[in-house]
Amino acid sequence: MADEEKRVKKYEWARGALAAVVVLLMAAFLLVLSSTFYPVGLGPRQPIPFSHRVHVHVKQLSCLMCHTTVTEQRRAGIPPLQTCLLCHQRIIRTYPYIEKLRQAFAQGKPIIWQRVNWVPEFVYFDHSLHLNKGIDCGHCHGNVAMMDRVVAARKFEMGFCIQCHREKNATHDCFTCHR
Amino acid sequence: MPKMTRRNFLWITGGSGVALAVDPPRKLVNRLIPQVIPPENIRPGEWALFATTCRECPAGCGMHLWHRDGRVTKAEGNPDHPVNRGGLCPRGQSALQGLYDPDRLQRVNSRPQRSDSRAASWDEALAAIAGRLKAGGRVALMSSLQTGALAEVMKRFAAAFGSERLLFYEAFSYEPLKEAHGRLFGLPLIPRYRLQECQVIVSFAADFLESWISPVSHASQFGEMHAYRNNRDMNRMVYIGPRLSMTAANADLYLQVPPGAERLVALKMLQIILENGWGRNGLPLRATIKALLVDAPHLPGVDENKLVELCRNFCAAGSSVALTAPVGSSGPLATETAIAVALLNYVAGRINQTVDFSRRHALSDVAGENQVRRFLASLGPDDILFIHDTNPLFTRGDAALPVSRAGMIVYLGTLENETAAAADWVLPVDYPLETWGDYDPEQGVHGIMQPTMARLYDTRPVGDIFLTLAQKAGRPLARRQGQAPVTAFRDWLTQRWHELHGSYAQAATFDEFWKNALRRGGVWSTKETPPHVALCPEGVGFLTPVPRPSQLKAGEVQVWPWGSIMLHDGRTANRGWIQEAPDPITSITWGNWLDIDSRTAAALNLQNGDVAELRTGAGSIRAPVRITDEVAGGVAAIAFGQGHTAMGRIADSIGANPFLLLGSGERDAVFAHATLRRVGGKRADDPTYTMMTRQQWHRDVVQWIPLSQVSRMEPGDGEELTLPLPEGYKPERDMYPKREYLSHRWAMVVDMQRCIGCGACAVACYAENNIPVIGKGKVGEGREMAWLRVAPYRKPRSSLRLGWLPLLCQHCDAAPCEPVCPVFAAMHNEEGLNAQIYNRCIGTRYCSNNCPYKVRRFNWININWSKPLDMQLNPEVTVRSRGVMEKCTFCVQRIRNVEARAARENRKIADGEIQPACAQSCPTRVYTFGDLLNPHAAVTRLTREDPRRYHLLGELNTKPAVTYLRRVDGEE
Repeated sequence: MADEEKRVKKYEWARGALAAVVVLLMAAFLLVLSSTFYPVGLGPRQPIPFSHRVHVHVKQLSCLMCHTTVTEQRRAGIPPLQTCLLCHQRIIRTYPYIEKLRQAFAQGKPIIWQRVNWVPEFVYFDHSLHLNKGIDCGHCHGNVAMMDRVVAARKFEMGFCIQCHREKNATHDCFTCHR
Repeated sequence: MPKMTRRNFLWITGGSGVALAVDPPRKLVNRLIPQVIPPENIRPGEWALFATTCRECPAGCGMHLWHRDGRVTKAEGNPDHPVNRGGLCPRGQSALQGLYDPDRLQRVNSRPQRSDSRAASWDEALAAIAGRLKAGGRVALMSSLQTGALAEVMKRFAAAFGSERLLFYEAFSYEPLKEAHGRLFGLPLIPRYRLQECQVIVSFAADFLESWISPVSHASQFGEMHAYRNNRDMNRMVYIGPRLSMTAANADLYLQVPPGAERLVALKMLQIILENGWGRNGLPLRATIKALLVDAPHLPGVDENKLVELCRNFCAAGSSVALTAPVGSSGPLATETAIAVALLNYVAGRINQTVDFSRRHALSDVAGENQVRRFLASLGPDDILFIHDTNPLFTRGDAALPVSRAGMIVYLGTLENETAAAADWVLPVDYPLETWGDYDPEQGVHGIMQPTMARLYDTRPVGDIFLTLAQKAGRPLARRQGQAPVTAFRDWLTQRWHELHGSYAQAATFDEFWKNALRRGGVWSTKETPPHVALCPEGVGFLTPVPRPSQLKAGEVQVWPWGSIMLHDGRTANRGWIQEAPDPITSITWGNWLDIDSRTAAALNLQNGDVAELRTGAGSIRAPVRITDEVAGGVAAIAFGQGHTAMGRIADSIGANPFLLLGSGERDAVFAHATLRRVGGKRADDPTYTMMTRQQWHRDVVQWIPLSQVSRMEPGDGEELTLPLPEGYKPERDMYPKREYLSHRWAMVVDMQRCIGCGACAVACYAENNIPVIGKGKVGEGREMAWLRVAPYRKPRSSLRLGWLPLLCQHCDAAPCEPVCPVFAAMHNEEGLNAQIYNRCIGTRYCSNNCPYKVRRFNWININWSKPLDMQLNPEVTVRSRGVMEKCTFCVQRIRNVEARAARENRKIADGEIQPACAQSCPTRVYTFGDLLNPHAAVTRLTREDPRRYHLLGELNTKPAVTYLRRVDGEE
């Protein structure tokens, strides 16, 4: 009896260890596979957890719906709060973060986002020219449609720009971006 | 703090070492701040344009302000405006530095009894002032020249508090003109001068291209009038005066006479015309004029034959005009000259032809000397003296005492200055670029002012201050008798424009009319009815006989102060661009100096650069002397505008203030007599030159071509140029490979015949390209950063003729700077531009050494743009840092913007669509910019065919993209 108890206790200990091993293994497995299941990564936290995945992938909104000036101007345009309220004054009004958004709008306060994609100040980039030449947004910004928190998909270094310009036989004029 | 043990020391140094080693990422403010509700038509990151009216001087030019992301960065001339027609002078450009002046008044200040300054609130200030008004304080109101709604408010305000004392005070009043026209024609006003149609302009010391009445308008008209148009006859300008001013240097004939002798020349001309019967209007004055000239001396500088010929041309020309009244002059002698000149215009039939009395200039409202004296003498302890936007304590040596007699002094302005320093209350008002308003520079031209950006500080519109004060004091102001009182200036303005709507565009609704006015910058009529002009011969009785000149005593000189194009009467002195812009004649920056001739200098034992003291009955000043033949004998000439004592960090203690010399009221001098003596040796960097010589040393950088030669040439004749195109490549001549261009080859043509040397382009370049102002000391070391300089050069074998060379990067095809750069920072671009890539540059300066034109500038220091001047920076141009070479880019940002627009709209770029900043601002249209690959472009035609074309230092085979057109020499 005493022996058996001892044995059981011994096995209990082993079971615990086994469980821990299995859990660890699974965790490791998930970690390895996470880039497959969630390949786009996570960017910095934003004041409102706006999800591009929900809006672009699930709801199938076009980029141009919010980034209205991307085909006409050098900047794509960060949508004013008014744009959010086009929909959200009717739908999902009470969700806490949308409540926060509506309050900010009522007070006339902007939401200050963390900037994710940027080029240094001595680089002059024009969105509209690239779009008009048929370059897809995703070429530089990655698969935004699957991003919950936008992350910089590419390193915006000169090599990245030049490589594409080389492939597409676009201008190599320094004065295009630097002036 | 714990004791610093060995252990602590290692711990701290170790920590910082690690921090340095891992190189923390650059600290970036990377936030995106979207708008909540976007304003209509203002798009983030894009330019918006606002039309407004320049208020830097009474000329009232139309201005366009480029606005982006809540701030304005560039002021340009409004091409549709009838006054300036697209150009803008350096002062107008510098309005931005006035707006962003770090020394601007930012809050209400109370300085009771001129004690220490104390910040106060608006409520407190208005309550205190209104309290005084209520208690029976009488109003005396002195303001810079205002017209339109603000003038109405001021008039009503003064009237409401029982006072007639509203004075529009300008240091440059042009009173002699007004008085002459009043005495002779019963029209005491300043007309519009239509210079463009003139064949002959005779200026009697009126520097009409610099600061006289409406300089941009005059420059623009003169540019058209004096340009060469493949014709045999050249329109001519003759200048008669004691100093070679910029205007005089542009003259085809310059007669140097002593100050005051302009009157004699004018009377002599009158006599010649009357005796020969060349006049178109009869003038029964032959005997009178003859009597006046009985004792007249012979003038050495004036050739009698030339004068006769000038008189004949003056009368025979289809149109011509004579101008006078040097800025700042008043008093009998100047008035007599003005009368004689008005008679000249009358005799030649120029009244209501080129002297257009139908367009009464706003300056006609400016108070004359006697009015100012009466106003100042009337001030007493019961008075509340309001001084708005004018600086009488700087421009009048005699103002301080009478002003201090006023019971309360309220200064309304944007900048601290000598007058504000003497005030009890200092109320900061909106800068003209931040506020609503209107200004009518002349009859039938109504310029509008609109806010081009939100106000920077807690300031208020001037009109609102007066309306609020009147209301608080219990006498609210109404625009018309019986109407409801108005509490906001904006409403007052609207009411006025409702009336203008009635007279200008009844067909449209007021809304359309108003929007149209905002878009165009105002409304203007095409024609005004001229008043009837009849000569009252009694006016001639004012003329006195010309005496023999009294010999000047030893050490005595005549003072000849002049209005500089940069500084005007000194209101712009606290602006770096203005101080660092070189004087057009001498290329002196940061300060003023005394011009004296060599005989006076020798008599007084003065060397170049010595400091001399000039003393009159009114005061004395000290300044370095420049010995030159550009001034007549016995003259000491010095520019107005410097010598501020309480204006701001930039203006303080620079130069001397010649206003202090004036005001003793001498009858026989245009300005004053003074004694001159040496008080010290040369001071370091005083004066500070940007160019040490104007000699050409046989290099022929600025070239003249005789009219007789050029008028025989056909388009295509002249020098064969090696063009900066593949066709310009000659294997036997060229060291560098051929350059091919696919889309564009940008090039420029500079017509030097049109260039008057004003330097507006250079200041525009500073504004557009974030060029730093580096200060007096560094300019003295030759480190100014101007990408474009307008260098004066003397005409070979002639002492008093100058030509200006607007010198910018030549964007050579075979650029000497490019191959010497070890890191390829100096690159040839696909469109022919010689690009300087700042982020590549390592600062070897080889390129600058190898540049034959010396247009490259090296950043020796990091420039700190003191806040809020950094708000002016053009967001499309990189701000360079120390160790980087920089130079003209042909305003590549503008080229790219137009190219992008054309690409988006899927069209070709039109010729003339791209305008670099220099070309845009130039009042005389010197610059033509365009694409050499476009066979129909104006620049192609001029580069290939104009008979006056040449390349600067063409023998070096750099194949520059800038082609110069020679000045035309009509005199020979």
